Amino acid sequence: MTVALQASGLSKRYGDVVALDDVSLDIHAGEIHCLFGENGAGKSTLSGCLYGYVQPDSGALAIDGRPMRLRSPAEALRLGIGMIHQHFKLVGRLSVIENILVGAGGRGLFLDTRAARRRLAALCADYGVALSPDAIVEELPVGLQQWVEIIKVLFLGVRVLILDEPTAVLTPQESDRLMAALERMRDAGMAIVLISHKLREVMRSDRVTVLRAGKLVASLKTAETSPEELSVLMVGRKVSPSYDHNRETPGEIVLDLSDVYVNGERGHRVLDGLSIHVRAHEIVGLAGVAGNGQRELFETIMRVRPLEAGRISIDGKDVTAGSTRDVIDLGVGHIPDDRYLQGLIGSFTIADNIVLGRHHDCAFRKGPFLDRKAISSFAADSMSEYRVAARDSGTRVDRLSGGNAQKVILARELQRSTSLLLANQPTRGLDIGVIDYVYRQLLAKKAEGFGILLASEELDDLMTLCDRIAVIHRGKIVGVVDPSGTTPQHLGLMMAGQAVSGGDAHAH
Amino acid sequence: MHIKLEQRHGSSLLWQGASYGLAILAGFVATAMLLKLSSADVTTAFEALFRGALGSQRAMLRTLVAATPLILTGLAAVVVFRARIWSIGQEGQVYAGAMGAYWVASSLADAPLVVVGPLAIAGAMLGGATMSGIAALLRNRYEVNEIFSTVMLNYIIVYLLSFLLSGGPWTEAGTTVAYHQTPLLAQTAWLPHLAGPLHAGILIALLAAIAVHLLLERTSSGYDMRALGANQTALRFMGMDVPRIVLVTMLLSGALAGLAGGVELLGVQHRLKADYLFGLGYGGIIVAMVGGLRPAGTVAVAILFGGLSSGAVDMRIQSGVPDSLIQAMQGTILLFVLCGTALARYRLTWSSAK
Amino acid sequence: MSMLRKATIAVVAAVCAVAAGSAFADEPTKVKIALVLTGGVESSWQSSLIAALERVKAQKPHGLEVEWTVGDPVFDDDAAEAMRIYAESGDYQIIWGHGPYSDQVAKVKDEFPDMAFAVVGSGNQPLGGNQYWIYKRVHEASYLGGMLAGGMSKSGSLGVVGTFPGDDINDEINAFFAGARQMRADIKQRVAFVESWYDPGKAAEYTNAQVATGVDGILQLTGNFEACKLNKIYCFGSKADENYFAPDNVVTSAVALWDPDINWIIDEWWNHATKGEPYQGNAEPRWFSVAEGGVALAPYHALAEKVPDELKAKVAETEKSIRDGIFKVPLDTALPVSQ
Repeated sequence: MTVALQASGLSKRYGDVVALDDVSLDIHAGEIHCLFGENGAGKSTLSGCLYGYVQPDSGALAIDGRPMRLRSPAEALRLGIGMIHQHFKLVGRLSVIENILVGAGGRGLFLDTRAARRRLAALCADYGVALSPDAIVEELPVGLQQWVEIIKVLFLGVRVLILDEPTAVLTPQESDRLMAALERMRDAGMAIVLISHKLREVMRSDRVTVLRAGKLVASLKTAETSPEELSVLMVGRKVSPSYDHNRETPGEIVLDLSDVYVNGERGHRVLDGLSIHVRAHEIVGLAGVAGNGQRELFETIMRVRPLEAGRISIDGKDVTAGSTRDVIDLGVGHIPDDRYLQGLIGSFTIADNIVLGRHHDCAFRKGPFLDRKAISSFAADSMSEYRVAARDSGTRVDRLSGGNAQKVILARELQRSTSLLLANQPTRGLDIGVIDYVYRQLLAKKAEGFGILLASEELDDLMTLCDRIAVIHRGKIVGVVDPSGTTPQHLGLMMAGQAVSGGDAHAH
Repeated sequence: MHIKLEQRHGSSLLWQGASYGLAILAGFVATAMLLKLSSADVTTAFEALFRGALGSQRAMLRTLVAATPLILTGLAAVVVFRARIWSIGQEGQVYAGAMGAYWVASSLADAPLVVVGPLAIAGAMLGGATMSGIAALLRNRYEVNEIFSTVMLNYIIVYLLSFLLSGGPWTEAGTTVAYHQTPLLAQTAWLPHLAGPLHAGILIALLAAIAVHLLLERTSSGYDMRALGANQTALRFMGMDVPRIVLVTMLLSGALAGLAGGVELLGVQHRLKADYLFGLGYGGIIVAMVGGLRPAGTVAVAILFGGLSSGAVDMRIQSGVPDSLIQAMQGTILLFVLCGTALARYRLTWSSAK
Repeated sequence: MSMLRKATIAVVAAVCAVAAGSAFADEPTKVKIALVLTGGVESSWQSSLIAALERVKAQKPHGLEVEWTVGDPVFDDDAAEAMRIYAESGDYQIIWGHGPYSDQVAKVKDEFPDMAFAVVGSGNQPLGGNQYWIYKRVHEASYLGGMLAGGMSKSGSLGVVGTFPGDDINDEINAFFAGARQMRADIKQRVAFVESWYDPGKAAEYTNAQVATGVDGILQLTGNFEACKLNKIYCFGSKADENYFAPDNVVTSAVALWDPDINWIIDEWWNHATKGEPYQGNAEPRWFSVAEGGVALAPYHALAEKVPDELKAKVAETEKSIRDGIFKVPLDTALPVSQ
């Protein structure tokens, strides 16, 4: 096998943080090479070095055996290295073919549309993708948008394709299809670098490189390892993925939404007559493909998004006309999916984030002044209780790893809520150790009598944690199922909007 | 060559100081070339500039006098910009502040300074805050972008003052309307002088700088403002009343800018005249930006600018450098200081082409 | 020759000798004036002052060398500082603020009690002491200009395009129309102010607008005569002889002559410096008339042949009676309006 891309002794530090410490690896043509590790382990920095948007402090790259310096992604693309990011770099208002040509553009004033259309059709046929060249990108489902991104890069004739957690936004079926396509690219001789923390996908790769704290821990043939071994390698200790599943009798309804209609920013319906309820002592899962109204649902419950019609009550109190403050005062905790947008103030310290929203409370104030001493000691206690790993409570939150940032949110939200927890993708981007921790915290809260609404892309997790799973599609709950009587495949079909027989198709 | 800007993480105070020093030096070198090009006597001009800015106790005091309103308008800009409210209404708020102070001081013509002073200062703050308050309400109620509303209000207040002074009720009676000015205020309303030309306004400005620093860094309200600037969405999700924070921030900023107008009226001009106040608000925005949106930086930059403007008079009188060239010089130095800011906060990295 | 007369001559001679001796010993030989200006020296308000200084210099009052310094325009607090810089240099004896500078003089004058300060025009305060307040009223000459305008107008409509209304501008405008009505009682008047010290665009716009209403003679106070040229109408200048701006259009101008004003201030300073007389700044603004040489009508230049001889004679006659104190041009400072 030929080495397509070789990195030797890559190191990168940001200030006093070592992001990458003397990492060497070979990417072979004709293999799917998985980069596996916790958030903050150095996967993104490493892929950044391979794609030319991070300049390593030391170390060297060789492409096809020739030493190279990558100074920019454009240069990487010229040398046949492409990357698919988590956030697509597409122009939503343009058509598929236009986006592809913009990506391939810069050569000549007129875009050669006819030839491009022919190539697009051939590529789509090759990978079994149904992509109309004239479809407007922002109207496509996320899965197809990702394909536009992939084909854009394939158009440039890349031989090394780097994908950063590509399945995070896909249904299980779409993920399967993507993995199959990647395998075909591999068979065609391409080198695929897949960044993932999902063991199921990692196990389909040919080789896996495990990173921990910026260091390369192991580079293994996938066939010669096991999920258990990889987990241990990643976190450096053994984790148990099973949870105590105490089925308790659900109590009173703590959250009740009926016939809720909500419009999005551009005036289109995002919640379309949605009804759902959550009882005390109950975890209700929310399954759905990203972009079907999950975020808007959480925002609506938090009363940061106006309601067109419908009714919301929390703990029996109508908050339809209430404010976010009213909702919070009723003891609602919220773990948002975009933690740096909705949950944290990145440039503030851990301490400031832990008291965010409560900084006017008497406990944290001396007259008009913040009581720094009280805040720090409260933050220090919270940090040790919720295992936030940082030098001290004065550390800026945007310097934390994803897991630690999430623990800061947990520390704040779990401490101040009393009856209801709203958790939207609380484990997104986290490593197994933290995921385990988050779920244990949710289960503990359930045991205390909280009602919990949990949205997650990890169907396996929903199925082990939840008492009921509601499936959301196009702003509606299309079915509520008992996790013990369903399969991920069955849920996946519901998520894709297909009518399913056998499931409980009623919201209540 | 391939050049990139990278943000510095925790650059040292020494480096920052060196960057600014280097920038000011480079600014003066460029300015010298500018003077040379227009065949002015560079040595005489610079000598006059430094003499006028720092050359004597009086010159230094004058520098502080010129810096006083800029400190206050700079602080006004710091407060809103830290909260990422893009108010550029400081200019109009200065006018409104001076008008508020004038209204109070002229209504209380017979009262002693201890009464008139504080009340006129309060009038100044109220005047400025009224202007910014209107912009805040327009934003909160009708989602009017504050950039537009504050620019509009700047025009409105300048024309209102123009009306009041050109034949309107505040016009100086008896002589003429050609000079667009009010009568002089009674001496009881003049701010006391500390030394030579330096009036008590500098104390107000420095106290305001300390107060703004404490407010932003130490109080829960300042936390609100910084949080609004850092992440408004998170603040909304935490149930904070964002419109109220916007209103409070704007009121404070307006009060500070108004204070600049009031202090300038009561400390230096003693009568209202439209062109006395021109440019103080916009100057404050520049001062705040160059000062890194921090009160201490704002004070330092305001003093630098105060020195440039007080030295400019000497340069104009003693070396015959035309006014337009002096403004070009000030602009040049400013530009270099801005480059210095970039130098202090970012790092240039380059790699030679293969 | 009687003894008495001889004695008288001797005494006078002795006194003269003593005076001359002391003059050689202590009396200043030079006076230097710092000019603080509101505008560039090219505009009439400033250029007429410089012209007068040149004439005074040639006259050598009290045998003095007269020198002066002109800087860029300065305003507000900068003007006070400029005055201070001039005063502190010790090179100057007189500071002449050619505009509303009494606020600034107030900040400096007491620190330099031996210097004389002059401020000019409306917008000033009387401060007394070493501040003197000069007014420039050109209404007498403006009256004569108005006579010419009235006499030469065909439409019977005259206009004024002014900068700002003001006490020492209104007098000029009202006198212009009074002079015109002297020739023709039915004169219609149009008045417009551009509300700016310098705005050629607006000045032209207002001039065109007046011409459009039938005006065929304009007292142009903005210093902008382009519209007069384009509309081919007669215009009248102010403060300086502005004929050179538009030789075919500017019939004459009401010229400000600053000679008596300058001499007055030099005298006041001289009396203070040489005789120790205290400065006694005037409380009411002082102005010098046609008779005193403070104002005059400019020559007709190339347009002399266009002015009817009869009209010329009438104007010359009126000027003489003003000069002789027989006719007094009414001083009317009310705000002029179109009528």
